[in-house]
Amino acid sequence: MKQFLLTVILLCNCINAQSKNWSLGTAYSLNKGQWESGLFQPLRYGISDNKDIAVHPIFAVMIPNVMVKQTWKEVNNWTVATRHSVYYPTPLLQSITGAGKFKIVSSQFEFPNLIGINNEMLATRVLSGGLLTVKAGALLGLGGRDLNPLSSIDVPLVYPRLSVYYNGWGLRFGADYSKPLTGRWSGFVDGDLFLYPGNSYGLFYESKVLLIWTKSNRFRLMLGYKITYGEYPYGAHWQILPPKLPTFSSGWPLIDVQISW
Amino acid sequence: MKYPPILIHSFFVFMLVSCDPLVTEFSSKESPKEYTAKTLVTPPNKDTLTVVTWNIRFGIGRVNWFGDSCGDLVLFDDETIKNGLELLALKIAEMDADILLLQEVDIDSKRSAYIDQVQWLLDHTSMNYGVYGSMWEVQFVPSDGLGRVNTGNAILSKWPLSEAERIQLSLRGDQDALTKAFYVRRNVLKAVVNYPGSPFWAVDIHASAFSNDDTKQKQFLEFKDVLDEIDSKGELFVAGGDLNELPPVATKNNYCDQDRCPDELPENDEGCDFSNETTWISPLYNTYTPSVSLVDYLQNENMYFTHASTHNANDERYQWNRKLDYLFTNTAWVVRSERTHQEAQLESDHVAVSAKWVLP
Repeated sequence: MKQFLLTVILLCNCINAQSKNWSLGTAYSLNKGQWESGLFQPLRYGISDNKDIAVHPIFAVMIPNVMVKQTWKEVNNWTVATRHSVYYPTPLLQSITGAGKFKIVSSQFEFPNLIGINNEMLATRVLSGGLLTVKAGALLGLGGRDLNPLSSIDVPLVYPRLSVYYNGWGLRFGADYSKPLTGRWSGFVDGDLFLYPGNSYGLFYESKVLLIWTKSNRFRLMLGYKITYGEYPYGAHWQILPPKLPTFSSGWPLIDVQISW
Repeated sequence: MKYPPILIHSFFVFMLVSCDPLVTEFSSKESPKEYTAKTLVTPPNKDTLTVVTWNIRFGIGRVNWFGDSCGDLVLFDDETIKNGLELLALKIAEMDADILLLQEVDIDSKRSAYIDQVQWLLDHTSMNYGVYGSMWEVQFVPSDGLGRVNTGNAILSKWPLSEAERIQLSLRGDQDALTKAFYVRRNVLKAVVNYPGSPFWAVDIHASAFSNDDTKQKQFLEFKDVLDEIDSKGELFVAGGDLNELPPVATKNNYCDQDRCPDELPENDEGCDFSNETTWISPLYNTYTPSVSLVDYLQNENMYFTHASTHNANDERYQWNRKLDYLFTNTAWVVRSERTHQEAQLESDHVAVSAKWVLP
């Protein structure tokens, strides 16, 4: 009886894991007409059953962006997809440049028109009742030839993503794994490596650990932390995010919600 | 299937304990960072030491920096900072300093190309040992593009240092909570200089610069408490630093017109009107021996000025116009040995003050 129940649970977990909901980081695309979004995640829409399009609505005005994912076919139990995205960060960078509070970049510098292009390949398969996704991509940063190195924003998450404009190109590799744990709880772990060959500060690693509470296939809540490592202009540095804020006695986790409809 | 609850429990424990601070908040007393020069230089065999206090302005000399001199510049490259440090090292050698009490020394700041200036100065002067107490350690200052900052006080010595301690001073009481959270945390730095057979204390302070309330008065009393404690044990000290305060007998007490930037309004003046502060450092003068007595100071104030309003050489306010930097001891300075090194025009926005001190 116990074995039967375990089989049913595992089967349900596999079905849940293969759901096209919450498939942002996987090779799966949303179903045609399906919508999905989150506090810190893009608004996605299924154009067809194997193609979705995404934009970060909160950032769209300051960083016009679009991402398209095409799921291709299954090869040896791996579902394969390609993901292509374009970013225009210049309005945001210009808005945070200047003098005064909340100006992140000194008024000594100006940002030209910059365009970022990411092309990635993703492959996802079921593994031990969870979903494993591996990915590799090439990053292109156009327009940054004359950027002053001092204009960089030397903080985790931001520096690795803007480095492409200073270096011109880069590579990104990653892997995600998500697995149901118990009841409505599941876990998510990922790792991403950014490489900028030829740059003095060219290696960055980010890993995220999330506990996910799924209410239904329309809503879930995520709590977790991100750990980052990088070679910054001030040296190699590990950082847990979010950092502890002044006056608060302890750190707060990353909190995100996702909705689908 | 018992592991998931354990995992979940462990996860929440991890959440509570894994906190790297964005801003370092110091405890009331803690150990400072210790340094040793790459190559040690044999200390001289002498019993009269030259003690120097100098706010080195993180090696940018008299450049118009945005934070204190109406400038536009915020960040500086490696070459600019190293040129500034070279100037400082040359002057330190010329003064033949034995003990350096430094303020505004950067060790890991974007504005100064992330150069560890304590280590750099140790490696480029005849100083051998150093201790550093940060007054501002922030991973990212979200203002004016300043970014990462770690700046503070340092004591450099030709002889080994021990028992070093960073003592927190009162925070400014006139700021909103957000600004205060990210703002400077002033301190007193002290260490025993292990001169063979005659150890003594070196004590370094950098008091608040722009407060308009009684923050500085509190800090001076806290500084004096540190000195009193050493003195009460019958031990000796040389102490000093940038007090950001005028001598009690100064004839001019308001520099707001000189300091105000063209686009600033009088109601936004900060730290330029000393008229209500004329007695705040009197307890130090009344208890300990200054390198310049108030009598000597009054005979020729200009000769002892250590700070200027602006750094544009064509501006009449370029000249040193007030004394903010001091040396004290609980024994005595060699008579008339004090030097206010006003000839060093380009090294910093503060003048080095030196005096000779005889080991008992």
